[in-house]
Parts: sequence; structure tokens; C-alpha cells
Amino acid sequence: MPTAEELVAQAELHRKQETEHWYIDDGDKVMNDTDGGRMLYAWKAIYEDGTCARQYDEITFMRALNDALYVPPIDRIISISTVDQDRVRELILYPIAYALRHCPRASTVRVVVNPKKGEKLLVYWCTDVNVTTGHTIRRQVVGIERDGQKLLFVLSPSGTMTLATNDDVSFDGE
Amino acid sequence: MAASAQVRFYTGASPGSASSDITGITIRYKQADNATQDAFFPLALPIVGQTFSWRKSTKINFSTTPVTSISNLRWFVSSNPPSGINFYARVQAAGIYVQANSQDVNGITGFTDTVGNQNANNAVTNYPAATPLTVNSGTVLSNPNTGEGTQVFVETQMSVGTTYAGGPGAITPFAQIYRYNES
Repeated sequence: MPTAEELVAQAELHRKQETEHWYIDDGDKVMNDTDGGRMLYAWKAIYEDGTCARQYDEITFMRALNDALYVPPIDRIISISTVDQDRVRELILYPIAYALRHCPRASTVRVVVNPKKGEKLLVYWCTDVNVTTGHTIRRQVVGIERDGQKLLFVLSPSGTMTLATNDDVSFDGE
Repeated sequence: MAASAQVRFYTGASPGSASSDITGITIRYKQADNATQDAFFPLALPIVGQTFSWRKSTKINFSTTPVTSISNLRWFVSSNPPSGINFYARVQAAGIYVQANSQDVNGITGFTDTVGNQNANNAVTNYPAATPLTVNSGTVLSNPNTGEGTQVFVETQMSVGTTYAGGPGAITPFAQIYRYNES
């Protein structure tokens, strides 16, 4: 019967192997196909009246969510700045079908916003440019800001999600 | 479009001329003012103290414009230099560029001239990912612009101490990283 410490060590080993497997087998291809991880998620903003805005036009959006061989062209992106901050009540980040195929840990994230309580939606990419290796990695960040305090979910291309109160976090290769 | 980024050294007289893209090459800290990846002008292992390189001034250049803007530009190292190698970093004041020069080997005033400035203030071990060097906290560049925006120079300097045991030649590389928010 393994001890608790052995079980923890075993779980950590499996986690590490899973991450390494991701990097060795699929990592480079995914990063090249998705502009450093930028295209792995697609957002939909839902307004108070039930209407919504999306990151892409309807055809591109639906294809991205259903076609595992498809990554939307970058020039189809509709900027998040077009979202009406005063009326949005929820933002959903969907991993595109391609992401679900290649990044098994990617999952949908929902952020509920209450503008009447002074909450502001935050959505952007946190980009690392490694001067030495030349690699660029883009992490999707979504969260809320209220009274100067931030609560952020940082989604790495590997599918790992980090909860943070600012952008200055060590991801240790995630 | 996504903002494509290139990192460049600046060499020569004020305001300096930009090197070609140095992203993805191992950078050589040397006692000369150039961005060439070669083994000339190396840092000699000292008998006492440390041997400094000349400074390097760096900026990140956005060759395509962001969807909306680039902001909150930071710089950090993802791993520490090898034992016996000291590495220092600071941000220059806005509008200031100082050409690398032979006096840098004596320690740069306000940067690496005293033990306090070297260790407490400007050693890169103070700037891991969780506490990076803030290059520009606000907006650096907005659509439709390209280039370097409002950012200031990151100045770095390397030295080798008596305890370095790696022998002649290039040291084991370590990573410098620019991080920014993009929307």
C-alpha cells in the first residue's frame, strides 16, 4: 500500500510527464498554428438584455468551435474593445475545437461581471517574448477589476489555468 | 493582426542605431559596442573582484500593430546566470540613451558602481517573473502604430567573478524575457 507521500510524488510525476508529452509531441505545432497560443480560445460576451457579441463573425465562430482542424485567421478577430463594458454581464471563453484536440486540459471559462457594483471586465493576452530562444507564448487573461483590485484567470496554451491578482506570475513553463 | 515583436540592441553614438533582430540568438556580453554574436572582446577571469562587460541597451520593436494596444511592458530573467557570473539590469530614464564605452568596465555610476547598487538594486536575481523590472507601466503602443512606442531602454551589464568555474568560451545560456499585455 503506497504511503500518502508516495501517492503525491506519483501524481506529481504523472503531471510532469503529461506536460512534457504535450511539449515534445504537439507543443511546437500548436504554438506555430495558433500564433503562440493566441488563437486557442474564442470569447463570447453576453449583455444584460441577453444579446451577445463574439470574437468572430457567426460562421467563423461556429466553425472554430466545431472543426478540430481549423484555426481562425488572425484578421477575422473582432477586438474585445468593441464590447460595451457598461452592459456586459458575462464573458465566456471557449477553447476552439483545435485546442480541445491538442490541449487536453483546455476548458471553458465563464466570468460573471456586475457593472452596477463597479466591476470591470478585463480581457487581454499576456505575451512573453523569450529573447534567448526566440519563442513567443501568449496566455489568455480574463478577469474582473473592482476598486482597483484584480482577479485574473490566466490560461496557458498547455491548458493550465492560474488564478492571479496581477500579471507578474511565474508560470514555470506551463 | 497580432503584434509581432523583435528585440534589438542599440549601439553607436546617441541616439544609437538599432541592430537587426536579436531574438532567438545567444547574446554576447563583451568589452565592445556591437551586437555581433562572436567570441571577440571576451571578459577575462579576474584574480580579484569582477570583470565587467560594456553595457547593452535593448528595446522591443513591434513590427506589426496590435489589435488595440500594447501595455504594461516588463522584463525579467527566467533563470539565474551560472554561478560566478553576475548580471545586472535597470531601466533608463525616458529619452536617455548612453552608448556603451570603455569606462563601463569600472562600474556604471548609479548602476553597478557600488556593492549596494550591484546587489540590492540592480542584480537580476531581484527580477524574476513574479517581480519583474517595469519598463513601461502604461500604454506603450496603440493601433495603428508600429515600432517601439513610448518605451525606455533596458540597460544590462554582465560581469565574471573569481569563482566562475566554467572555463573559457560562452557561458551556459539563460533567458531574458519581455512580457507585455496585448489587447
